[in-house]
Amino acid sequence: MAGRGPDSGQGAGREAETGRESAGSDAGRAPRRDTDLEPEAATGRESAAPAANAGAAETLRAGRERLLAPEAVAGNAGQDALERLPAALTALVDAYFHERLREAAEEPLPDEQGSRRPFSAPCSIVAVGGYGRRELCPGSDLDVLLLYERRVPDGAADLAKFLFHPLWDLRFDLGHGVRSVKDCLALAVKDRQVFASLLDARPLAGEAAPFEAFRRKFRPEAHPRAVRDFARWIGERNRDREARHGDSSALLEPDLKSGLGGLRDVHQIGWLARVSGSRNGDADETEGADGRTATIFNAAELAGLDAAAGLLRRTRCALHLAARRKLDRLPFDLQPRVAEMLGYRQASRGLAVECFLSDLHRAMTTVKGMRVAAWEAAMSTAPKRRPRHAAGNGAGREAGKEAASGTTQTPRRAVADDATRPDFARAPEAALALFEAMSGGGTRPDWPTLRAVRAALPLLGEKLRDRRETLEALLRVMRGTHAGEALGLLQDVGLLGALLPEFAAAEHRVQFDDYHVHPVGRHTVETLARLSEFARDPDSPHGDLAARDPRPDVLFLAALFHDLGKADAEEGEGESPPAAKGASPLWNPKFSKEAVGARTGRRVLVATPEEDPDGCSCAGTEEPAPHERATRVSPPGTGPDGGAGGSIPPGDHCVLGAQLAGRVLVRHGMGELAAPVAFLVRHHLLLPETATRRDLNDERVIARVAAEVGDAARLDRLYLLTIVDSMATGPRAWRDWTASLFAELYRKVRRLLTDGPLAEPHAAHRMATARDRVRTLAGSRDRAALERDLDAMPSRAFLALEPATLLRHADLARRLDAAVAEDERRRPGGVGGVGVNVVEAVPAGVPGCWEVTVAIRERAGMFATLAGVLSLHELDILAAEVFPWRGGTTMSVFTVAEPAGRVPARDIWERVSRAVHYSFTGRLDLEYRLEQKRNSPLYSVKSGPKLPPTVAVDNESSDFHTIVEVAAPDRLGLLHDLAKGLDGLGLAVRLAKIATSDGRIADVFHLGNADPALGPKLRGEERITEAKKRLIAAAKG
Amino acid sequence: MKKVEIITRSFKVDDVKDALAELGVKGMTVTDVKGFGRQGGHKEVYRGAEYQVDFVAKIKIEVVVEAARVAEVVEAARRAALTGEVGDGKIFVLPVDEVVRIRTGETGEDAI
Repeated sequence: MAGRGPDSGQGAGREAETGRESAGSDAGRAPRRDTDLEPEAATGRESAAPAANAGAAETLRAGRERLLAPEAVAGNAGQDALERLPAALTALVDAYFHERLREAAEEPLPDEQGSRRPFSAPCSIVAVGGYGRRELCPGSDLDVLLLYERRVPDGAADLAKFLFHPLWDLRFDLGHGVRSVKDCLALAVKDRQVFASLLDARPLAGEAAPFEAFRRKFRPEAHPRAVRDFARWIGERNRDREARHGDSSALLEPDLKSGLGGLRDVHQIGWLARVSGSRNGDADETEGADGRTATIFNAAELAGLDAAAGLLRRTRCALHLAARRKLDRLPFDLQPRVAEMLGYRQASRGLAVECFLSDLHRAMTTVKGMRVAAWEAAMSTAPKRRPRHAAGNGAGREAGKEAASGTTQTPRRAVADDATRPDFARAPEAALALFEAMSGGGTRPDWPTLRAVRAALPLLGEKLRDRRETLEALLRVMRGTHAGEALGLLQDVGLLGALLPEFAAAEHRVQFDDYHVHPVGRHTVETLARLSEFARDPDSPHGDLAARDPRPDVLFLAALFHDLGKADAEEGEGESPPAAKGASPLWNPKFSKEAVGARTGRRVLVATPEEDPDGCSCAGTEEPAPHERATRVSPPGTGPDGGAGGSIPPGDHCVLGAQLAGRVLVRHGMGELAAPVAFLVRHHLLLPETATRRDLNDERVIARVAAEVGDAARLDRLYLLTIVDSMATGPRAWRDWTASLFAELYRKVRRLLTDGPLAEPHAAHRMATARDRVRTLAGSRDRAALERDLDAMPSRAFLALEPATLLRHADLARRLDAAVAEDERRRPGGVGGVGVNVVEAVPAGVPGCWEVTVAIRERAGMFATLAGVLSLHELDILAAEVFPWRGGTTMSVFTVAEPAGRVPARDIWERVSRAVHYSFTGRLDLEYRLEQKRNSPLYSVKSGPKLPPTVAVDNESSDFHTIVEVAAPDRLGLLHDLAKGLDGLGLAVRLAKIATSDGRIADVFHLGNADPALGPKLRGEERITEAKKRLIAAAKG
Repeated sequence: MKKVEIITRSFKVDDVKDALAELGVKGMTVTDVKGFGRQGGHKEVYRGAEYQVDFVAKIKIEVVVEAARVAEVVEAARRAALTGEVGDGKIFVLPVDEVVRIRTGETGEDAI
């Protein structure tokens, strides 16, 4: 661990209370030379007084064990323990240093040569970084500095060893430095990271003099350019943070510390306040509750920040304990456990964790918003006489850089003084005008203006709600060049929710799955932002569609309202202003443990259901939630954003959302738009559901969508809405493969709508045309053989495949015939030809995807074997289609994606072919190999919530097949297992697609009877039940 | 517990080390090694007679980690060591029965 200085530690925060301990030093104490600085632990309530005769290290070990014992952090008492944990751990370690120094004083230190000499030079032991802030989580680094007033003496290394070695043995992640005051100051000038960490320096033990000397000379606020220089450095760091860790306030697996909105933002607010403390003597300056100086925030806002930071710290503590190591990214699979440790009650599947994530997102949004404000304020505190280049437009330039990286919202700020600040009581429209201006010109309201907006929310809601002008103003915001940023701020500040109660009821919904990246509100803002981009730029990929829409407002409003139905029904219909409920994350201190503690008489984490707009129930509430949703069952069958967690009925939200959208529009005097907007909301999952589940080569499927949509203009809008909705949902909803499916469906439906209805004769005509084109393409090939192949091909092949592909299949069939004949010649006696196959792979036209065709004689278990072999080679199956030819040959066409970040072996297709052959001849035990791979430590697939698998059978949607949809936690070889489950039922997979349902992987099979005499579909209650049973068993694994 | 042995190119050592350190891997052993893989030596057999095999200088990095962390350690090491060219090396994962920390006598995962 040697070599990491304290300055590489974790920075600093508001609590650089450097004077408190050292002020107590005086000469009148017991004449112990090294204890001028008393540890706070000795008097604090977290006291960890060493047991009699126990060494300092043993006391620390035992104390930590006690604090971190599972029973100490379990149950309701455990939540208090988690709250106190950072301070308690800090006190324990403080006590260690104090005691250890005493031991050093009593016993001369052994030096390098083993001889002993007394510890002599005066030294202050100083905590820096997170330890300096008293924010130790169970896995936190411990950053400590041995500070000497002048030169570092020879014996310093001995003291360092004596102090630090036991900490290593106790498995603390120790960062240490041994420096003189002069070295420290020189480093702080050179290195901003060191500077930041020293802002949090806190004396622990030892002599007071060195630290006093340091404190006298280290005056960060005394440097004339310190504020801006430091703020500029922070801006750069934040760009790096965003690139590395993302915006945690909107991530599936947020980084609690370094992601934007994480604890580092809290530290930065403190640092900036500290550095600019003595320079900002304006009217906004407020003394924080703990004595710190805050420059732009008032006491209520600081309380909100404290509450948000408290939740982040508790979460980080719980995460370290759950993971049993230092971990800052909150991984998906630990989120339920952490929610439980934080006292969120498991009301029904996933609900507790959804409540927790909703609170966490809000806390991080609060923190991020305040950090942006603090940073902008610091950037604007320019020295009076500025060098032209350093300061002139520097603030704008730096802010512009941050804005470009999304770390702040806009390049410029509208700084209004009190005189020019609008009076919202007299002119409520001015509030919306602020955001219109921001969206149009990139000017962002400053923090005091936002504060005024927040304070006026109930009033604004009352005055502006249900007016046509309000929706028109919102539409102007949506169309601006900075629409995304303006809408984001509009939501964060709570105004969007105040104007639209239906939106407020849904905006904080989190769906616990690995599919939806954002809570509903943020998702809506992202959807609108992307739509706005398309609408502004006709040259963007879908800009032409947006540009030719004669009524773009319809699409914007549909995007705004498309997920309104995700609120609870009673809330969605409620009219109570969300402002009254404190819905805005920017000032709502609901994350505070004390938020409702007073009312319930117990300490709880978030509001009880009757208070909480989310209706979440959490630990500490005595009664079950009045609208307990434990019994709600989510039907399968949703598209990109339709897959819902436990609390949101997927599918239903479209219907409910359409009703709500219509009602909202009528209320706002825009009844003329109600029908088209409601239509889009009602059907916003139609395209993704169809594209990912249905056979797009089935004319009935296309015809049904066309009939549903009605006209091309509506289809264009629906398609655009599908695209922006999927893009905003997350990377699993929008990838090249799904995009290609959406595009195919859109193209086919549009052709149908513009070229007129298609009927069976048309299909027959298409088939005939396809045959002719194959013949033309075939050139001088063997005509008779080609005709035989064309006759053997199934009709569907002519509708589903391009003529060139059909010709390739004919070639594959020839090669297969030859290979089978050769094998039979070499292995006579009836064993030849088994498993012989020909594999051909071509790029699928989608980046990273391949179309793999396997030609083989149909056998029992064929599809399961092929799927298993592809999985064994780590090829991710996206879709499969089987074309059984007359005569026993089958062409199985798989669309597969390469494993993420890995390049498949060059001879991968030969290997696949060999493995298929060997599987059928018994030389490769596919089950064993798949099991081996699953059990490998390298393939521990992290999947979504372990919800029970569901199976749905649909005999209506297709004329030719029974459609079976199986939603189950993903795992290696799942498709193989499911297909195998169907073996023995006389069913054959004809088409398979990988879709999503409830935010998890769903395999959709189109099944037919292997024996044509039984008809095309799976019939009979008994057979259907048996198929379901087998699939459920296979999905469970 | 598992031992992860990473055989990599000399100039990739720092990249691998940094990637592992970022994951919180606390210690490692690094050795200069020589060897060859599938393509490392030129011709091994020519007309039935043994031919020259060239050894290529590589670095072996050994770390011992908890079994649950093997996947992320291997993936991080692989990404860091990857150039995409022949000779990028290999990663072996081996079971470790026991670990003893000599100074303290600690055993098992405590001693990693």
